[in-house]
Amino acid sequence: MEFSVTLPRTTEFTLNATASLLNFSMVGLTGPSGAGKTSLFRALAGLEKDAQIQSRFRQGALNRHRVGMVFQEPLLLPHLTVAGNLQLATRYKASKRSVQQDDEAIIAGCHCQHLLARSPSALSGGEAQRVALARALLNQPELLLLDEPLSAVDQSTRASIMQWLRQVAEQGLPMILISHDISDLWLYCQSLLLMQDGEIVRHDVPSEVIHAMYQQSADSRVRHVAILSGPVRMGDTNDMWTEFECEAQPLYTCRHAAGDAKATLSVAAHTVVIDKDGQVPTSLDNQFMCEVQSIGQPCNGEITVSLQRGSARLYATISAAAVSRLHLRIGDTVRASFPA
Amino acid sequence: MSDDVGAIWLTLKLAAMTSIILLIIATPLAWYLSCWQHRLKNIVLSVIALPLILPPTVLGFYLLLAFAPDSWPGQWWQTVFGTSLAFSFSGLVIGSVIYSLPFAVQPLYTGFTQLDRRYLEVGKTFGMGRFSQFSRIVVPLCQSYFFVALGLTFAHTIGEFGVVLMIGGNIPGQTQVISIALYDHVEMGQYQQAHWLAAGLMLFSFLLLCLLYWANRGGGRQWSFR
Repeated sequence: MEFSVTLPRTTEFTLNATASLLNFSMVGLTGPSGAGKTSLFRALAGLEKDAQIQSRFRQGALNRHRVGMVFQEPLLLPHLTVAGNLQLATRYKASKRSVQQDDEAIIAGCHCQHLLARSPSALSGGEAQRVALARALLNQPELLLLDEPLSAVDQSTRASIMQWLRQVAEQGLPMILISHDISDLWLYCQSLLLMQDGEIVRHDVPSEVIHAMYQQSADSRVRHVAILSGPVRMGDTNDMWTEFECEAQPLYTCRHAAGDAKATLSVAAHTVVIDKDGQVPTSLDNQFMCEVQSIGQPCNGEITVSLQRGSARLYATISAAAVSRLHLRIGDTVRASFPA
Repeated sequence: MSDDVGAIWLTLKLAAMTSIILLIIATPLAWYLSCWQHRLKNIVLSVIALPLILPPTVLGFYLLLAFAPDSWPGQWWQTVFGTSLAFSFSGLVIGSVIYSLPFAVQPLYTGFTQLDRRYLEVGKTFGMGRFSQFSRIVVPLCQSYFFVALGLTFAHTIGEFGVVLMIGGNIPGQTQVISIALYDHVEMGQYQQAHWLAAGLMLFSFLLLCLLYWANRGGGRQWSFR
């Protein structure tokens, strides 16, 4: 898919976004608020009449009638029940599609089976978002645009739905996902588009784009998160932890979906403890030997240190005093400890 | 008494025809106005609302002039249909449509401006056409406003007096509506018949207003748009 979108806006910049996405299933789109992400989606979905769009999608121009969109707000039609909302989407679905998704499977995948008889006003924010997602999928679009679709859904349900969505995407329904959640973007997207002031300024694998975002942001209040992943070494021996290998080092995670051959661990920078000795035992479950790649500028007494081992990247937000006490320098080998 | 039955029937026929015609005219007009942004919009809205404050005789006077066979609308009507527009039932219908226009447009305009248009965008992403968006999203969401527009138009037409008297006169079976028949009875001192018509109109108006309030306040089916 390729697209070039120009849209004059009332704000200080004109949306002028161009991207080329090859054989993608799920691509992320992120950037600061007001960068034009939602406007880009609206233009691609044909909701901005002033937008000038040049697009190519599956050997033809993008058919804007077959672009599905899940809005930031669920926008369930209040005069219909949940089932009525879903039926309306089904009524107008495309007659043909390369991959047929069973309606029940979609409803089950979005965890909506028990909500069908309810009125939209009786749903919580997260439930309404799940119904909105199911409704968009039942319409059988050729391309699905997801604008922070699960922001109000609880963590465990969101992980389950995101994993299922990735499967649906891999089965032939390409999706573009707007999110500010670094874990979601890192875990579920093949590549990530970074948008700033109406333009797509970077398109790369998620870890690189996220790292570039962190490098650009001098504000230590931006909570740095890294994702470590690797093949599972040992199953759930005690139903709590899973051991996996990352850059030839054993790590443990307690959030691993059973049956998945690859385990991932989301590590928030403020949970990482670093030391140079590496011999003193700690109460933290994971120890990861790595190298200091960069040391950020102090901000409010805190410094974010970027650590790397092979292709795995990790961040640690520590006090300026701790950096001085440890005599940290770029290139030093340190032990990073963090919870499972 | 038979004249009164004729007047009741004629009034109901006039109110029903006016309401249906106005719903057909006012719906696209109110929709267009709700989407239209122009500095002249207030002037257009004022013109539509004029019958709300104008004395009915003023409107009736100008309509009578327009319906006269020597004016071009009256002449055109006579040429096409072969009958005079003034003092005819057709003239009454046209007059009622103009006189009750704001009663149909205002509720619909309010409903359409309060409607969250993002629901239509959702419909558009489903591949729904404009008619489907209107029939499946706008009409059900603005259902109570349609009821109010229909009810107000019907009730207002039934209570018409000044305009009807000016352009229709008092011809039994042709232009004599309830309010004029009532006036006729009072003029002739037939108070008992006048009481029947007056009390009947009062009861009908009360019931209709109850129904309208029920529809407008939801009757349990008032949607919140946001």
